Amino acid sequence: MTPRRAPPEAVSQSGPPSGGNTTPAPSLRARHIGWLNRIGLWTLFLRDLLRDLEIWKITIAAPALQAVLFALIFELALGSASLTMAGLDFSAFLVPGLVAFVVLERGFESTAYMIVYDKLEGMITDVIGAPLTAAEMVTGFALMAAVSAIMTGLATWLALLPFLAAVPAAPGLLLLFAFGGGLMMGLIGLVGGLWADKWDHISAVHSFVVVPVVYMSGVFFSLDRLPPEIRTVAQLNPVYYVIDGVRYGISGSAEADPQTGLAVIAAAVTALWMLCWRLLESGYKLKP
Amino acid sequence: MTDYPAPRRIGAVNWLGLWTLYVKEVRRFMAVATQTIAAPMVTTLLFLAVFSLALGRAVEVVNGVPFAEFLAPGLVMMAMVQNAFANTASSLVISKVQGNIVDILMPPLSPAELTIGIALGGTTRGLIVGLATLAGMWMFVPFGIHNVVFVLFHAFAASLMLALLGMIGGIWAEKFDHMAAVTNFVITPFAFLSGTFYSIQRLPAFFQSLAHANPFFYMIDGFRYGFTGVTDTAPMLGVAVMVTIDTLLALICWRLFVAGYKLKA
Repeated sequence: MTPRRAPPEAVSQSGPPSGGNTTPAPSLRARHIGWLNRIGLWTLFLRDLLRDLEIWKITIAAPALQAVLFALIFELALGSASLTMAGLDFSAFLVPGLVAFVVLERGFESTAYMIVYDKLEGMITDVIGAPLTAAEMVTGFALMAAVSAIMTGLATWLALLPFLAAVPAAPGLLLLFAFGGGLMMGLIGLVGGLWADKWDHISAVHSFVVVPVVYMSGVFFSLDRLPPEIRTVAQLNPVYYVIDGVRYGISGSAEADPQTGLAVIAAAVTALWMLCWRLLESGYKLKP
Repeated sequence: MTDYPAPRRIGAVNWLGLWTLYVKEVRRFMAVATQTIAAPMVTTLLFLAVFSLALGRAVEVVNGVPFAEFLAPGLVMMAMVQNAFANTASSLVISKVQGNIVDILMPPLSPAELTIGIALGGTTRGLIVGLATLAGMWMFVPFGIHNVVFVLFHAFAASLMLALLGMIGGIWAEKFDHMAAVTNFVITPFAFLSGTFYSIQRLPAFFQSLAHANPFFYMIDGFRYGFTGVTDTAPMLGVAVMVTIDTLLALICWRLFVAGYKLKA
């Protein structure tokens, strides 16, 4: 065991120290962990968030640029034709939709790809082996996804300011809906990541489930454009409420009641949290 | 005395080696066809749905062509070029990162044969994705064909161009991040903004003249001309531009392989 070195100024002032006597030797007793491993939860959250931020070009800049491209091509394709959607000017409709789209997609990707990567590289043992309960793991991953999604959403909103220069109508609700959407998709990404055995599986979930559901839930068009039968199905889908809620937060107009939206999202997050907790508790595909 | 077989004589072209390289490149993406063919097809059909649902009522006609019929060829072209690029780029970067690039550098293949084999692999992926996407769209948008020669020429020339660009990118990139950056910040913007979704007559005059210096514009416009018979420029000019660009890019790739740039010590 190496004793910690004394700080340099102590050396210059009092001559050579007589031996590591400036700090007490670290205690070898087991750390007492209460009902919640706060340090562990914080460490898991921060580790994964920093991993996301380290590749910010892929996790923040690229989604923001893609949203700008979408806005640009829609504006150019629309040209001089005027279009109102759900009572909003088309830009005021599209920009919040794109922000919500980025939040949802980023929330899913951050957990899904991280879990698959860790599983394939064998690094998942770092999480499983740590003194974290299943509940703490689920919470750590979901919070990380939500924060990562909000940061990307914020960057996207700033990048889209040239298309819709307006102060958000309801910033508090906007943040709440983005947070709920990030949590929800982070948990879905966790389920997908745990289930997937290889990259193919998770990218299939992404291309064939997540992207189609998000695209068709009101990012680019109001649901009244859909045939009535499909519309009813779409309105059962919590993703629709996230998009609609984010639109309410930015543009101040929504198709659904924001409180209903929050209730649906809260219910979805709770159910998904329970599912993830069950999966991690049982060691599904993680433990023999 | 000599029992061992004589070495295989290789003529001017190593046909067997070239064919083997090509088949290896094609099997590489066919092994993950859900990711490399089905996924882009679904995404492209979603784009068609989203644009038709969002703008269908406001934009009925572009250049005298119904909006969906205008959009469909552009989207097919976008899917083709993105996948042709992704194929050669990811093939080379994965080989370099994993170290199995020696498997293509060591065999008796000349730089020209390497260029052709890998480029045709990427072109094939572009064409297969294009065909799959086109078949999917046909169910929703009943479009006709005005001139099949233009359709085939631009499908091939554009896929080849992006396969060659992907090869240059793949040789240059040292890790996946580099490739992702090129895809996200160069290829996607070009594929999106070069007339896939709108006629360039919509652009301000300055950007319109800029578009005429952009090969992506000619490939999309020429391909669309093959279907609709309507164009923003002279059709034969597009053909000339594509032939020139493809030749230049092939020469660059060939030079890179000759020099061993980032491939040989």
